[in-house]
Amino acid sequence: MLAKVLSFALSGLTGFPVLVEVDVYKGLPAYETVGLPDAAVKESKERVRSAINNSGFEYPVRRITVNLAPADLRKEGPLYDLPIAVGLLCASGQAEKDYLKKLVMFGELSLNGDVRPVSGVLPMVIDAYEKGYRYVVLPAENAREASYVAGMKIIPVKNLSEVAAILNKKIQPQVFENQNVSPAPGQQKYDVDFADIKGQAHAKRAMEIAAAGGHNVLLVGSPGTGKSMLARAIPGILPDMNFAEALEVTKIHSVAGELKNSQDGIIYRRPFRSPHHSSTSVALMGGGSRIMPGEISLAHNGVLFLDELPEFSRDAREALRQPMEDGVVSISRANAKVTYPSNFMLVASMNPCPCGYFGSPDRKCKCSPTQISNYINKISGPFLDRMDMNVEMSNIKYDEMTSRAAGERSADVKKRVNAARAVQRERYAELPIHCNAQLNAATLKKYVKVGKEAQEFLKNVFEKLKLSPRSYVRILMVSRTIADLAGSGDVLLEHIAEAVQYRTLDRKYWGVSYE
Amino acid sequence: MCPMNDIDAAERYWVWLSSIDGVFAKWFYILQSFYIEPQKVWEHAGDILSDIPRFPPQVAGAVLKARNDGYMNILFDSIEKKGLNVTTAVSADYPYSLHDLPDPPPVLYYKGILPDIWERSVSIVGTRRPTRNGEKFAREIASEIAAQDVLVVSGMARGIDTAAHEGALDAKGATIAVLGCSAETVYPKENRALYDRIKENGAVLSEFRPDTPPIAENFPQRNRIIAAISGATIVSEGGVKSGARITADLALSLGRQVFAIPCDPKSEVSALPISLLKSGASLLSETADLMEAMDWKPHIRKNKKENKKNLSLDFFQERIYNSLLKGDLTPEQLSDRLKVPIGSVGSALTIMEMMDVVERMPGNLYSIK
Repeated sequence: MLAKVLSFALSGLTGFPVLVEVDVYKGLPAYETVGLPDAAVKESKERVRSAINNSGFEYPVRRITVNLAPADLRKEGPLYDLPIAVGLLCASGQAEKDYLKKLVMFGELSLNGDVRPVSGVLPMVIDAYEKGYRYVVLPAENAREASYVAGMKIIPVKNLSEVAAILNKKIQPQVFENQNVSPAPGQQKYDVDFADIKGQAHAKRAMEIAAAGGHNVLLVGSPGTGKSMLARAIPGILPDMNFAEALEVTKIHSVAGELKNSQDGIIYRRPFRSPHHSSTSVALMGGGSRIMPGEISLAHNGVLFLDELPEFSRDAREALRQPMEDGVVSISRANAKVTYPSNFMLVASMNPCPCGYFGSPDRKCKCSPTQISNYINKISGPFLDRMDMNVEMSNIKYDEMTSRAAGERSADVKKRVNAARAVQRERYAELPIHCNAQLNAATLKKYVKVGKEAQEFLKNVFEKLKLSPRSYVRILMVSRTIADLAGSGDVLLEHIAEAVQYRTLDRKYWGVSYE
Repeated sequence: MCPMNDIDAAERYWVWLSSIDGVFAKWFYILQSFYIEPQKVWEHAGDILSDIPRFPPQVAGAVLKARNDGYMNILFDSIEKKGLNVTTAVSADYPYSLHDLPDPPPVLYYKGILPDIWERSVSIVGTRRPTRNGEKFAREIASEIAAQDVLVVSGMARGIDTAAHEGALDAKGATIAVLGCSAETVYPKENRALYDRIKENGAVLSEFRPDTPPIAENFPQRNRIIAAISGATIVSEGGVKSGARITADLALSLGRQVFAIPCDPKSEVSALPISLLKSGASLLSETADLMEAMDWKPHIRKNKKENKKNLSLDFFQERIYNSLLKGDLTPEQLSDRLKVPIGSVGSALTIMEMMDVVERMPGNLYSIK
């Protein structure tokens, strides 16, 4: 007898329907799975057998063929355990098939018949809804995550017997209702508040500008000046995500399996990802045999923090350039090509020199000028080009750090950031961009109006400080953001003068060589 | 100035003999005391060298080996190719003050132009790792004395040397760098730009033949030139056992005036100036100390720094200026003290930097220029 159960699979962030066909027929007892299953799908045979036996059903001692259609796409992961088990029960006459046409089903089984959570539920449920399905049977732990798809009836299940009982109409399916469908955005808690950071007003101001204009930042400073803490505080001053953005973030985290057992449901918190500097380019970009999102996609709509930037492998650093430009990352492997979104704000930090104390007033730096310039020049010019701001941390003494009064709270800074973002959205309404960091040479000319006096000043700055040509565009972009924060329509001399402050690596004492 | 082809035939043998490994200046003058000119050595090397008592046989061997036209041509070709000028102890443009040395360098290679007068000159020496204040003061002093047409001599090393050269050049003065490697070698590498500036406004000179790398034993040898070539020596910061100490001791033994700059007694790098001051060196805290002690008439030249004070600073910039007068500060500290938003402080600092009033230093510190 044949039974067909509907399930879903993922390619990147898009789901596609998979029909699980189970045929039980006469012959020597055997079990075969076809339809490009990976190892985890093949292994489901053992889990399914034990789960059926331990749930009080009878495992059919006959010839069994399981087909996953369409047969030309690779199926990965343990989420077909439940559909296969249900198919077996239906095909062997232990459960009724009436509901099967309407239901989408997935879930991993444990040997005693319990249903376990799987990853990638949210994007699959979204696409199931778009394809016209209205009922989904899934592990109880995944119910919250799926419940944000309005209109979808979620039927959470705890074990195989429960599914069988529903199919046999012995119990009424309980549709999951999320009590808390719209978590209030803006109520998110972040690790570090701006008020927690003592001193470093210069760098904090730079962070505010970076957040307001979506600029990438490189922090340069001695150990212990608070670079990491500052980076951790940034998500807290970025504008709140809207529903679409939050949904996208949640999808990515769902695919990466980071939502299992989570109570969060949809993610409204801006992600903060801080991969270790030993991370490979695959860890950052995404990949693996099942192509999973990497750190840059997990940081989508949030902050990617690269601590100790020069310690990252050259490969890893250079691989970042393309996704930074495009906002998406495409990963090609022999069997598939997947695209994940990767629109993140890059915050990187580095020491000023190999020993870390160049410029420190109370510790002596042991490095020669050549060592310093070699260290800084590890970061390639094109990479530096993508960092709009490079900010030098001030060295502060310990007593100064503790004696200072608390600074502004993140919430207050965020208000100004939100206002500046609103100005930018309005200005770029007819363009496909939404913040100053996305300007290019052509749009810059059109939207960044610089007065004559300011233009003259900028020219002098270039000659005197011997700035590299590439910093020209960056300074104008950042000046535009400073002007937006100040509520000024035109970019004035004072805005340009402040923007020059955030180009420390152009200073000659670093010995940065520009070609 | 003396282009290569201007030196006479006899001097070519000076260059030849001095270029041979193991022939130190000392041997040159021992030969001279026997009235043996380098040309004679070329002509009759075998007989002459065996007659000189204790002349090392392996050096004599090297001299004999180098006694051929091939060697001579390669040597002069490389001098020409590297664009080096040459002067010898018997040339007219040779820095005559060097004759006070027991072993003046027989040959000097240089790039740039040698001055005619060497009395009105000062060597400034000190550590390669100075404190911020020490470096700043050395730069200021070099600037001020160069503005009074005093020639500044130093060794183009990192730290005090670099500050001295740059200070002199900034005041549009002349400066001489005496190197511990050959004159066409830039060491340390990061001083490439400085090297070019010195070449244009003075000279880079060395007694070492072309292609000599900067090896450690060359530096003390070089220091004797720095001590002897100028009329006085100023010692900035340095340790008790340092190259600067060697220079200072040599200058004293040559009867040159030695000045020491007083500095923080607790600092490691103050050891040398303090010990010099204790043993009777003159104290130098302003340019006048030097000018009076040396009895040099001040030449008043237009100094662009003079008009700095008349710059039109606005009220806020004036307040920043006054705060910085008391010491270097970060923008945070300025913002705290003046109760002004950090953004405005940054903006004002850039503008003041453009006016040449302040300068930014590593560690995000600002200081009055």
